[in-house]
Amino acid sequence: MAEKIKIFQFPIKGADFEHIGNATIETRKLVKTSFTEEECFKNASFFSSRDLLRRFGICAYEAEANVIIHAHYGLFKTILCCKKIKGEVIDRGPGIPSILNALTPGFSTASETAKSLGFGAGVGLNNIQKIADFTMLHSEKGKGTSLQFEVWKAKDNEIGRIAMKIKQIIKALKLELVTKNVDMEKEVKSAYSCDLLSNVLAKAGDESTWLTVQTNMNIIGVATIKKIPIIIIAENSTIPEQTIAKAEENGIIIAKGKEDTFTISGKLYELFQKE
Amino acid sequence: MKIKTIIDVTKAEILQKNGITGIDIKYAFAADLMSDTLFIISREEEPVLLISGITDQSVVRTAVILDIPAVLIVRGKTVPQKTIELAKKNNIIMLKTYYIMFVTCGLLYKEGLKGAPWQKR
Ligand SMILES: Nc1ncnc2c1ncn2[C@@H]1O[C@H](COP(=O)(O)OP(=O)(O)O)[C@@H](O)[C@H]1O
Ligand SMILES: [Mg+2]
Repeated sequence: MAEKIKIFQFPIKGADFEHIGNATIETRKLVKTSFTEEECFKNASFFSSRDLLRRFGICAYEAEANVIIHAHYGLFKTILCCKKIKGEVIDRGPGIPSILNALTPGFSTASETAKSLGFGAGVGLNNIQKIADFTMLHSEKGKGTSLQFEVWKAKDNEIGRIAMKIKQIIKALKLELVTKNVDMEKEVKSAYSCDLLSNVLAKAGDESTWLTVQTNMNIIGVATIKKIPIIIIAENSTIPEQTIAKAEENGIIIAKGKEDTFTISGKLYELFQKE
Repeated sequence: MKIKTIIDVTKAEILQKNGITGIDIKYAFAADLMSDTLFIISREEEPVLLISGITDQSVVRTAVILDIPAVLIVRGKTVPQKTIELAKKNNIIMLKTYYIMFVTCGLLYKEGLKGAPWQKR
């Protein structure tokens, strides 16, 4: 499918404290609508569009606030494509004499007015840096500042995999859910296939999916220690009652598949990579 | 915790009641600095109550951006009509208590609200 790009633009006025956050909220609305209406963004919910929207909103808000608090006027441009949201805030203003100072948490030249409104904590640029997947700050003293940031689809950047809800995995792999009353909304983004408990303890990534044919009670202990939210039992192995009870007690999901470890691994691998 | 309970516990007054009906608040976050609030981006732990002494419209916009359904203003500050209108427009429940932030937090904590766990990035 051809890739679609959407661009939104909002002007920002310096010292317009009354409307601080307006450009962000209006942009956020447009992005949100795009997620639900446009074919190519529809899948976004699959990749946690909520997280994406929130991270974008926070960065946008901080960037917008900076123009209102520190500059004369600016333009807030948003570029939305299927893989990421990019924000570009360019202003005319005093510029930042020392970017190093500006990036120091707590450093702020905000006015008393800004501070009385809860701004000027001096952590805005840090927030953006921490929350966005990419940031670029450029400033010329006496002229103005340009800030660019990008948020990428949830966790795409980490180990190149996509976070998936457990319920999606269960559905996609046609697994049988064995435990009851557990949180199916939890997300995982990696998996580890192994039947040796000590290897799992040593090597499985925290909060990953665990694939095994082991069904004895000890698997729950291991999963609890490794914060593994879901164990997939391959080859339709019989699961003792005690194991199920202990899993439920610890909030761990057990799902069962008919296929062997190799096949389930392969399918899960594809799911994590799929775009 | 139902909004009704929050009102009872903090002897709050309702400034703006339109919002998600029957919402069950699980967590709370208290701050006057919007940038601090912006830093709690808990994704799964919802819904959160924002406790703040800021009465400007920015408190509502912060709530919108963070999907926070309800705001509790502390220290009995007078909330400008514009803020209330903006809350109404955005479906954010707005309450006001005369307790100071510390006491408000204490009361709600005792009643079972948990601190919004923030994600360290
Ligand atoms: N757009 C801008 N124009 C001029 N100065 C800026 C701009 N953005 C940030 N700064 C400078 O960088 C400092 C730190 O910014 P930030 O981390 O957002 O904290 P705060 O806005 O709370 O002061 C500001 O106090 C200001 O001196
Ligand atoms: Mg700032």
